[in-house]
Amino acid sequence: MKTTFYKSMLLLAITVGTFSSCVNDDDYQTPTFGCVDTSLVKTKEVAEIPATSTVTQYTENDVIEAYVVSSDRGGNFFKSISMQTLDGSKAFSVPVDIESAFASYEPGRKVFIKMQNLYTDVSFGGMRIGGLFVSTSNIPSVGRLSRTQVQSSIIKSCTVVNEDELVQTLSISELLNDSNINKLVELNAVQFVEAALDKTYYVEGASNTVGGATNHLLVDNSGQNVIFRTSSFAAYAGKPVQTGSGKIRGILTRFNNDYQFVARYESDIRLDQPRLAPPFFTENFESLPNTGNNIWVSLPGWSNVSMNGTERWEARLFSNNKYAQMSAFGTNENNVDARLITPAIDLSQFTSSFMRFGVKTGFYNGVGLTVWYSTDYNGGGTAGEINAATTNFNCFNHRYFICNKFLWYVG
Amino acid sequence: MAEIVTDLDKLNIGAELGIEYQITSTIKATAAAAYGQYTYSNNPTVTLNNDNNAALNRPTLINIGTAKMKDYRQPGMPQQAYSFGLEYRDPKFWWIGANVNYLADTYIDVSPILRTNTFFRDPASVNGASFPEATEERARELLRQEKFDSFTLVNLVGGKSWRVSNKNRNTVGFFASINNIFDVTYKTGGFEQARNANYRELNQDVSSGTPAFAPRYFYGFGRTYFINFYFNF
Repeated sequence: MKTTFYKSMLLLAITVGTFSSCVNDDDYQTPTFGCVDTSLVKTKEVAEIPATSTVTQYTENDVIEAYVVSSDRGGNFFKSISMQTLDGSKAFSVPVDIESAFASYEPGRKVFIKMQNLYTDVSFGGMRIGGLFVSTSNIPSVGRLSRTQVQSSIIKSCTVVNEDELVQTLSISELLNDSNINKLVELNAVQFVEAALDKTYYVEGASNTVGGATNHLLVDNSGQNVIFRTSSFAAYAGKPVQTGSGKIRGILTRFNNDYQFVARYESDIRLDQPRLAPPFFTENFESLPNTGNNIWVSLPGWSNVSMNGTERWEARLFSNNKYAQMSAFGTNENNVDARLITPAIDLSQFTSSFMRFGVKTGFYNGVGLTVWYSTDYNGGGTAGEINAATTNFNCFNHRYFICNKFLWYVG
Repeated sequence: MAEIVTDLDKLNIGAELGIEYQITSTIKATAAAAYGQYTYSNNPTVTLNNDNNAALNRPTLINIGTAKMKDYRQPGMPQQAYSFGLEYRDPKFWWIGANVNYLADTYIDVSPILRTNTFFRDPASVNGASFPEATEERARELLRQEKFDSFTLVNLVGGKSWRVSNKNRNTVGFFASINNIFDVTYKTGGFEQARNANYRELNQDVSSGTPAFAPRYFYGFGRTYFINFYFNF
């Protein structure tokens, strides 16, 4: 072979090698990362979906959109997803028969629900959308959607919003309403009651542990309280209850007549402020030494005076709880008027204050209970001295109102 | 469980050169060079065959989509090889030679299933949601194709022969060689195990420092000796 032939072959080979696409070690691709969005759009608002206490099947081919707010990652929720609208106006729960629902539907994620052939009802005030469950006694209710039903009816979108867009800050009294069930709420300036402070979130066998979860009480500085419920399966069940005051985020639920505030994970509980100022005057009547008929309430500084007879406030005991009781039963007196008056309370250092008292009334055929305050009663303890004092306002039978500069709550 | 890869295209581009040159009447030099770039040139389809499903009356073949195999290097051979040898043949019927070989660009056999979209899918989800902790950058690190270190092998070869009788051409002789004189340890190939089939498992296994399902490697021989005796009649 001639040299020229060799040379041109060599040149050709080198040229081909240089000008063909060179691949370097960084040129590889990774699999598709990221979400592929659905093409679904909502056709109805959540508010347009009817739900009553009777289980009803939704037959139209409608799509609603909602945002997930609950999570079973912390173990406190189980096979149920709470969802609400973005503006926080409506909320509902969806029972699902899947574990680790948070892996598919996490808080903040927008989902579309294809309503056709799903069932709706209202249970303990909360709306539910799900499948049909018929109990052994043939009572239908909304039950868990099977895994395939979840995959076909609850479609996740690629939109995930920050929780702060979904959460609403409410006071405890604003919270306790059926319309807030399944909503993500943040309570501010709340703390656990004293009785909960040396306990863990879940306490095995305690008197406040019912149905596999423990109910501790949260209070705010108006004295309102709400049950804070922690399941034995919660990841933080064995942690000691936080002792400060501050914020708690959670979902409102209801069982029978009890509202329950349910957190999702330990990070929802942020009680990092010092405890709220305790009441500057309290009386729970537990210091009364004896109780029973005609055992009059006698406490240091208090007046217990009958204005027109002999019957006065009695110290009573029921179910381990002492209280003051006024009753005309068996006294043969008419128009019984007896006053139980606190010692003088100095309010000069406060710009506003309120009093909260617990009361149970029954069997009265006149004005059962009246509440007054006086600034010039001398504490003497006779009917005459009481009549001489100026009594101000007469506010009772209202749940929440403002009298003068005081706020009176009854609860 | 069997993995079936279909429709995989390969592209081999390269140049090879060989030269033999007689320096003196007794010394000869040889040289060879090969430079190549052997890659996969498309994304194949990966199907899994699950025999267990046959007993459960479910379909046994599961199509898991395309695997991003394009531009990964083909495994199994060094894609750069250079060799130089010298041989001396003595008129007294003995000869000795040595050659040195430099081999580079050997790549590991990548697992197609790790390069499908199931890599990011959280098995706990019902709707194919990705692992929340997954990032594109970490995925690229995890899926980088391992390139083995280049290595140099030196071989020695030689022999001698004797005429047995004057009357005929019977010869006796031997041929001997020592390969890899310097006992170099080198990998010739390997494959990624597909046991960690998703991002989370692979990431945790690799990050642990003592991976349970690290790639498997094949090693070449260390120093080897060969001797051959012959009798020609």
